[in-house]
Amino acid sequence: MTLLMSYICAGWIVTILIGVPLLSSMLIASFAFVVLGGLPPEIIPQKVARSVDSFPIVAAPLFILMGNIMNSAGITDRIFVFAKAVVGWLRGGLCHANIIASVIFAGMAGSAVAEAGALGTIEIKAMTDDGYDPELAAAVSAASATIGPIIPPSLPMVIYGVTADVSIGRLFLAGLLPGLLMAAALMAMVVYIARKLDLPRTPFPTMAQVWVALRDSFWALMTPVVLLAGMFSGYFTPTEAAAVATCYALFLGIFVYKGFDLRSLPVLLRQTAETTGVVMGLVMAAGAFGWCMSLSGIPQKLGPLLVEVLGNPILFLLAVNIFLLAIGCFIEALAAMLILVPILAPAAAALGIDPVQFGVVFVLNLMIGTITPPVGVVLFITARIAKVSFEVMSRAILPWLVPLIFVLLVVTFWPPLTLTLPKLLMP
Amino acid sequence: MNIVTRVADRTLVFACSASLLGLLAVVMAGVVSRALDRPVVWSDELSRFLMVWLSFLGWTLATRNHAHIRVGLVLDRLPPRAQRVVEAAIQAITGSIGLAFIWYGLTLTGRNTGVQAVTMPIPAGLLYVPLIFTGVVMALEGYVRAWRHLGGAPYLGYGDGDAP
Repeated sequence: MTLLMSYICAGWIVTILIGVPLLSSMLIASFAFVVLGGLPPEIIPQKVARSVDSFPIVAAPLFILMGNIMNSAGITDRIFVFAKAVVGWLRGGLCHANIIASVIFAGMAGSAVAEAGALGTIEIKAMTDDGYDPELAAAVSAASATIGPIIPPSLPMVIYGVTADVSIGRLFLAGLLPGLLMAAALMAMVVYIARKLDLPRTPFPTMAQVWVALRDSFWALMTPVVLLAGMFSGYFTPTEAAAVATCYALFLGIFVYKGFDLRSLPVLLRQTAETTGVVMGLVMAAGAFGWCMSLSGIPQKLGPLLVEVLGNPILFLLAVNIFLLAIGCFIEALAAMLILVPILAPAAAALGIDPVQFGVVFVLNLMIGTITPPVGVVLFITARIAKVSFEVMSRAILPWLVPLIFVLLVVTFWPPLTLTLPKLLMP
Repeated sequence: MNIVTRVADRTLVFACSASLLGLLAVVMAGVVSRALDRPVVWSDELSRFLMVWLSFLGWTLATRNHAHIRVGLVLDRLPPRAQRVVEAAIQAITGSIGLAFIWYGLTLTGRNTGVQAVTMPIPAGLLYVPLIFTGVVMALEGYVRAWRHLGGAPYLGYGDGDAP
């Protein structure tokens, strides 16, 4: 079975490179495994359906819907205007505003896809209207969207927590400081690029302008507070937070800001369903493929082998980073999680690595994977919004990977960055 | 044929919207009922059912719009004739996966029809019904497109779908 799976994996990568949709390539590989392995083929459709028969994953479409509603109601606009008032006066001000807005939005949405689709639309338009290159606007938006699932709430952290049996509350707290560090590192890169490209800045705002921006966006800025208070006081679970956030966005859009037109709801629902279909299709196919992988015995052999060969936690984490960054280029993040968490989490535990720290390392790696070609979902989304080719985007994103990989290394080699808050607040 | 396709597409979009709104309503029902100290037992299971349905319906919509992610590194660089042949083969494979989904969807639905869901008086087989309609759309879409490409229709790349 192990040898058969090795051949199938090689064939699977070839089908991806030829141009078979990722979803179909995983299904072909899974059907090939069961047919050649003498197993009943109906297992594959069954695993496909069962992969999303899970309550935590319900948050995925709801976060995407929330993002779309916030966009349509002009709430993301208000967040961006506030961010622009605070940091727009710096050189390359809209790049800085883009990152600050992403940090705020990260406290509402737990998915990079939702963040890129919702906030990215506003940010890319505002930046191109102001004379920024579309590829630069799209690249900053894609890079800053990866902050979304690191700062709580976070769908990938929920999936990791459920799959690896780790406290989701501790994972959420662990992501907060790395998420802020990501924002700082991306802003440092903006400083460098803004000087190099001589990017524009807006005039220094008056206190009155900042006050107006704050007043106009106050209730939108309160969303993370409402969600975190609700989750940590036990009123709703992290999964249910997605539904609460969606209802809160609808409430703000209809009653507070009055910018949401109910007639736009059918279009938003259709868009959300299609994005859900693309992402969940990959998760479902990966569920079947991951099952085949575990049946082949590869995880059971690979885990102990990694522990034996690499020996110490530092080497292991370094190897995991390289491996996940490479894998993230070819598999969608949630799909990769379903396949790889059962292989890598036990090996990390065997080497004494804290499962919470490993969870953040894991999720951060896969988020970087969402903006690396050839299979970066977030890269696809921002390229489509900015109407630039995927090849151009693939080049434009390269400088933005540097600060993110720097943060990844800090998270990997300095455990207090992830473990201080969980130890302090959830001892 | 155009009218049939249009009606089918509209029905698909309606079903997607209904399952998404239903999902939101059911999850919120769980939160509100718990806050009122009268928790409903079916919200967790029903939301999982709706999630499976929504995922398959969204998958089907994305299939109609050719929005499923693919890597164009090789295909985009081939000469037009080779592109058409490779794309026809890819579409035929998608169609065949659709046929497998129809067949095994029917098998799984039939086998689980007698089994009842844990908290609701509905058959557990309903979970596998969407495999059938996703399979039908994948098969039709795949084979029709394969036929068109073999007949000379050009390969247009990612997102060249027909749905509204």
